[in-house]
Formats: sequence, structure tokens, C-alpha cells
Amino acid sequence: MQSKVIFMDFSKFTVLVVDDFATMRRIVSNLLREAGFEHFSEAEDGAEALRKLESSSFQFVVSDWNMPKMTGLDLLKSVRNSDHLKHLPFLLVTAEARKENIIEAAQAGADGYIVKPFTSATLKDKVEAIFKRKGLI
Amino acid sequence: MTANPINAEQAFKELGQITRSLHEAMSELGLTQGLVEITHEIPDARDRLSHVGQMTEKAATRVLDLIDVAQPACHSFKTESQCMAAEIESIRKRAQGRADEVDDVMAVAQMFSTEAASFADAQNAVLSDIMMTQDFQDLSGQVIKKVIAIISQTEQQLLSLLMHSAPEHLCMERAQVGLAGPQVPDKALQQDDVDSMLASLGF
Repeated sequence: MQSKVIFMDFSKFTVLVVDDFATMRRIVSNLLREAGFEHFSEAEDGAEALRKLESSSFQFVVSDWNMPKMTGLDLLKSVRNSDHLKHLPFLLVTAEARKENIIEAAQAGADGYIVKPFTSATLKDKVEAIFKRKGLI
Repeated sequence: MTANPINAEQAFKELGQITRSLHEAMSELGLTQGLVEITHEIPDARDRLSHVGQMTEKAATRVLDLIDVAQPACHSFKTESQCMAAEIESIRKRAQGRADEVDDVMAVAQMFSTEAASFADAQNAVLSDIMMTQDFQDLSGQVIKKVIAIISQTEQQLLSLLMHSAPEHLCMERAQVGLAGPQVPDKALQQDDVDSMLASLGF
């Protein structure tokens, strides 16, 4: 039996979930909701995500890598190059699992990297670790 | 290696000869015919693959919709059960020893409420697991998209090969052979179409 114990209060943060597959956006949002997040927005590619990040306030980005128009990695680079977005916690959730991908993501400034398929426990762990490390909670 | 490097003109001439003998070999072996058939099959194969992608997405979305209905119900049932258990407990404490029969019933009700809360929690965990199994749609979808891209590319290459070797074959009618298997919906006959077709044939 799994009892839901919330160690951290994520309810004040707004998350942007970016994935070109609607199914995955819903799964990620649902898992984050179970982990305690309450405010969400979604984008289906990096370009749409960047527009949303620039026009309203977010405290966390969870993004796929391989997407049309603008990839998650390019989105990450744009975020890190922007003065007001560069400190945004950024988690990549992707099926790209080669060593060089992970190195590339780390060099671009990703705060976490989850390989699909993943479990709800993995997502929760990584999210908690990121917020702890960034001193946001 | 001391072989003299060939100049561009020679190279093109030799390439031309190779291409010509390849064309001739292809015609002699009847390969162009096969290629024409494959080229005709490819759009169909592509449609079928993307149909598979659409079907799995639809199924996954339906499951996620159902989970969206069931999960909030689990959450509120858990909260209500917890409140109920706490309420009963406090009443029992206040009324201690005043009526044993009532207290026994209350004890049962308190236990039941606690179990109900655990039950709702466990069901919610099951729903989360069901949801997580839908992630196959994202991964299979990506694979299908990739294969469709490969098929399209192959089709382009085959078509240009055919344009060079046997353009007149391209408008040829293709032979219908074998069983086609499940069709994409807009190509498939509906049961009504099948029935009326059979009726017109005297069945």
C-alpha cells in the first residue's frame, strides 16, 4: 500500500510541461499533481514553450527533447541564454538515452535528466532533488 | 597505388555505362515491374502505420480520461473517510462508557472509515500505475513516426529510380493479390457496404 506523504510543498510553483505527445503531457502533469504541484501549463514544442515562458511566470520546466519546430535542448539553451529565465529549474524527460545526449544536456545546463520510460517514483525523486539543490524549498 | 587518376569526363562516361547496364539488367530480371508494385504499396503501408499510431493514441487518451474521472473521486473519498474516522473517534472519547452497545457500533464504524481511506489510497495508486502504462503510446508513436519517415524517403528514391529507368510503367494498373488485412477506416468498406454488395450479387 502506498501512502501519500508530502515532504515538500510544491503548491505555490507553476510548471510548464513540454512534449509533442499529448499523452505524455497528461501523464507528466498528472504525476506532478500527485507529487503536490497544483499549477500547470502545457506546450507542444520548444517554440510554444519559449513564448509561454517569456509571457508569464513559471518556476519549473519539464521538457521532452525530440520535438518539431524547436527541440527541448534548444529550449534549454535559450532559457540559459536569457537574463530573466536563466535560473529556471529545467528537467529533461526524454527517450534519447545515448551517453553523448546526456553529456550534451548537462553541458547545456539541464538540472535533471529522466529517460523514458520512467516510473512515478523516479520523477518524484528527481523533482525533489532539483528543488532541494536549488534551495527553493 | 600508382594507377592514373581518371579525369571527370572519363568518370562520367563510366558511370553512364554502369547506369545503362544496371537499367538493362533490371529490365531483364523483371525488377522494374517489382519496383513499380512496391512503389504502389508504399503509400498504403504508410497510411496503415499512421492509423496504428492514431488507434493507440485514441486508446491511451480514453484511458487517461477515465483516470481523470476516477482519481479525484479517490482523493475526495479518502479525505471524507479520514474525516469520518476522526469524527467518530472524538465522539467516542467524549461519550466514553456511557453506552457500551453504541460504543461497539462506533468502534466498527471508526475502523471501517480508516479502512475506506486506505482503500481509496490504494485504488489511487493502481490508477497511477494504469496511467503510467499508457506511456507506451509516446514511445511507440515516436518509433512509428520514424519508420514512416524512412518509408517516405525510400518511396522518393524508388520513384526517382523508376523515373529514370521505366517512366512508362509508372501509370500501370497494379495487380490485386493476396489478403490486404485491416484497412484504414476511410478505405475500408463498412458492414453496410459489404451487405449491399453481397445483396447485389444475389446473397
